Amino acid sequence: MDTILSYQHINFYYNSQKVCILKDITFNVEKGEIISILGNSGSGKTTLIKLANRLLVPASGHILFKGEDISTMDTAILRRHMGYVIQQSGLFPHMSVAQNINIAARLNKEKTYASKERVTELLKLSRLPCDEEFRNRHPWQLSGGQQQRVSLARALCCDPEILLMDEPFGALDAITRLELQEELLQLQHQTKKTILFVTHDLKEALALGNRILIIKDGEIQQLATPEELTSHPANDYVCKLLKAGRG
Amino acid sequence: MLQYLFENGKAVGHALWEHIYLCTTALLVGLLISFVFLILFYRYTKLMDKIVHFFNFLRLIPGVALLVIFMPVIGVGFLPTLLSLIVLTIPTLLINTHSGIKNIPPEILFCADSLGLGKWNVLFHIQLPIVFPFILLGIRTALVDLISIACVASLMGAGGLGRFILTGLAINNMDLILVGGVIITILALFCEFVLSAIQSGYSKKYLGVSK
Amino acid sequence: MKKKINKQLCICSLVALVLLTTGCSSQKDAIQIGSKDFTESYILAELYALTLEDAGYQVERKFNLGGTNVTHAAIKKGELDVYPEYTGTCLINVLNMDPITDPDEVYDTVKNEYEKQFSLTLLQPAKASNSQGLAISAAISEAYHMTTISDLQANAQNVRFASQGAFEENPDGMPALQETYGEFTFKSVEYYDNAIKYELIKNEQADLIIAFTTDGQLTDDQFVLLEDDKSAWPPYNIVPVIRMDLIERYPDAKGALNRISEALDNEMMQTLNAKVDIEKQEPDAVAKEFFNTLNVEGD
Repeated sequence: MDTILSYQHINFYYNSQKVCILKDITFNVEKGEIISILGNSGSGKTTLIKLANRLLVPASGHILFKGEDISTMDTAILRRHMGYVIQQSGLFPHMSVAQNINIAARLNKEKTYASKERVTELLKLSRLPCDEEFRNRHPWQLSGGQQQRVSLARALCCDPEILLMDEPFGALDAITRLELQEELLQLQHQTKKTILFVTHDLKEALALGNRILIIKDGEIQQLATPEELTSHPANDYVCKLLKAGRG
Repeated sequence: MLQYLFENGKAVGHALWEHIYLCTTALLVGLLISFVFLILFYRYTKLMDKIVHFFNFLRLIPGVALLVIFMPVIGVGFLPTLLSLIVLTIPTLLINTHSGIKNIPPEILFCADSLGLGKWNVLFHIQLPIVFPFILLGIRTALVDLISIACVASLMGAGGLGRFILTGLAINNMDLILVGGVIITILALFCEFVLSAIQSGYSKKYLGVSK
Repeated sequence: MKKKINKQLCICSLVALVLLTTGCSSQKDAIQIGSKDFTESYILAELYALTLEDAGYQVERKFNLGGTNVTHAAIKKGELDVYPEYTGTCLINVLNMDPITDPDEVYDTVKNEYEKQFSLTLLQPAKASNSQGLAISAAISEAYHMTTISDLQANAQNVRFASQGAFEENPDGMPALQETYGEFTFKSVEYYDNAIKYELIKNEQADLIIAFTTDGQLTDDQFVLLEDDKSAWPPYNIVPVIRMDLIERYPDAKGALNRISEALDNEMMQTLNAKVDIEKQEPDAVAKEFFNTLNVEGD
């Protein structure tokens, strides 16, 4: 087992020490696994993954990426190891689909990742059309589902080791959401990426995660496989959560 | 009016050229300075907010009044007048660009940062292209302001079409007033038209906005 | 509620009544005095106002109207009753006639034409003559031996001219000069506001400016008034232009205004102008001070 990301005693405060968002968070992420981070709004789940690529900086504690403390790394380089997908897709409106996908590669002068073939590969991976017409479309000419797929392709362009996904399918309709969940699993099977997937939906968490990390009020309640969760819930909160999810 | 134009075509043409030269130079230098200013301070959002707030207040003072206030300090002639005009364009340009940058949806900046592009790439490849219509709006406003304020420049040895309007008023000659006034109006409308077309063309093509 | 409305109504109607009566009275009784937009004109107009008030008339001041065209149009329409003018300006700018060198001839010609064409007349002219002129920096004058306008014309390519818009367009400006002396090809021509012309020479931004022969600044050695050797410009004696119907209504006004004309010669005018332009006093204060000295001396 190969630990790729490690959170060690992370504390995070909002509004300079007034509100505590994360309390003494400690856990490891193994290479190639999908961890679903499950919690309600205000639980600190979004903050948790923003710490991974240093969009936020903890008040205390360390995060190690492949054994190295990320606070000592160049932030831009660190972020290229991690793809990020958010709910609103955040595609750049003034660029075409193809330009959106390979922008990081183009600006960092990485020829192989910036190539047309790479874009084709990513479009196929994301189950999107590969023709010229589609490549040249702008984000506002795409459906919600298509936008998220392009967002995913963009995140994967420079072959990052980790994917950080913050409720990426939250804004989509139920059918598209299921489709994308399926496709994500297939993609992960193909590429063996490590994924941190934030969600507030228990079903989604159980469907996707090799392990589920349940978080409440900034504290980890339990980190376990779906089977372990159902058979040995750590506390009352986890119990209630599972019951509510099933109903 | 046409007869006056016919008889004095050369002088009017020369004044028109002076006016255009004065306004375009002031605008371009103003743009350059605004740009440098933006690059230096754009990540210091609180400071920029305060500066923009101050500029918004400055814009309440009519440009012509400011020009006259500057005159005893800066002097008269082409260069001092140009300097004053440059100073007058900067608030408009900065306010509009700043407003545009603030209006960029946060998720776009968020994704740009997450891609590890680095802050200069984010500014030049993401923020500025998106903000371009706002910049153009600032240029439009600044240019039309400049064209009218520059009328006073003719009193300060900087030349331009203002001479005809102001002389016409002083000696009660309608032809002169019309010559100056009509040409300036056409100039302003032309600039407005061209820049407006560019702005909406760009917005439609790149940002999907049917403004 | 009712009491309040009544009170407001009373106040409104009182105010309206006051406005009406004052409005009416100013329209009926007051003599409207105008001035152009430069120092000497303000001083003269204020003197006219003071002397008429002293004679017991009500006066309405309409100063700073603009150039000759504006004041002339206003007095023809009846929006002005009297304003200070120059005989030469009347001759060339208003009547579009050719220059005449004899002051009396100018006066008589203008008076006759004004009475015939506009129902306006001229009262007694002052000795003071404020002619159009050209002033040059003393340094340039010495360098190129320029003392007359003919000298200037020969050396124009060495001279930077700080002109004004009105000078270019008025018949007694550049056009008159060109007709008498020929073309002037200056080193450069820029346009400035009249207020800053002497500063321009002082700051060496220009060599030649438009001057009026009674300008206060001409007392300074830095500036040389070029001689109008070919008489492009006629005499410009200061004279009140007045509506003929005003004299019929107020015959005493004539005597009051002529008092002022009698007291003014070139030196006096230059001194008064200098007080405003160099010492930065207010024109109406300067006029009042001068008027008081006239009163002390007695009629």
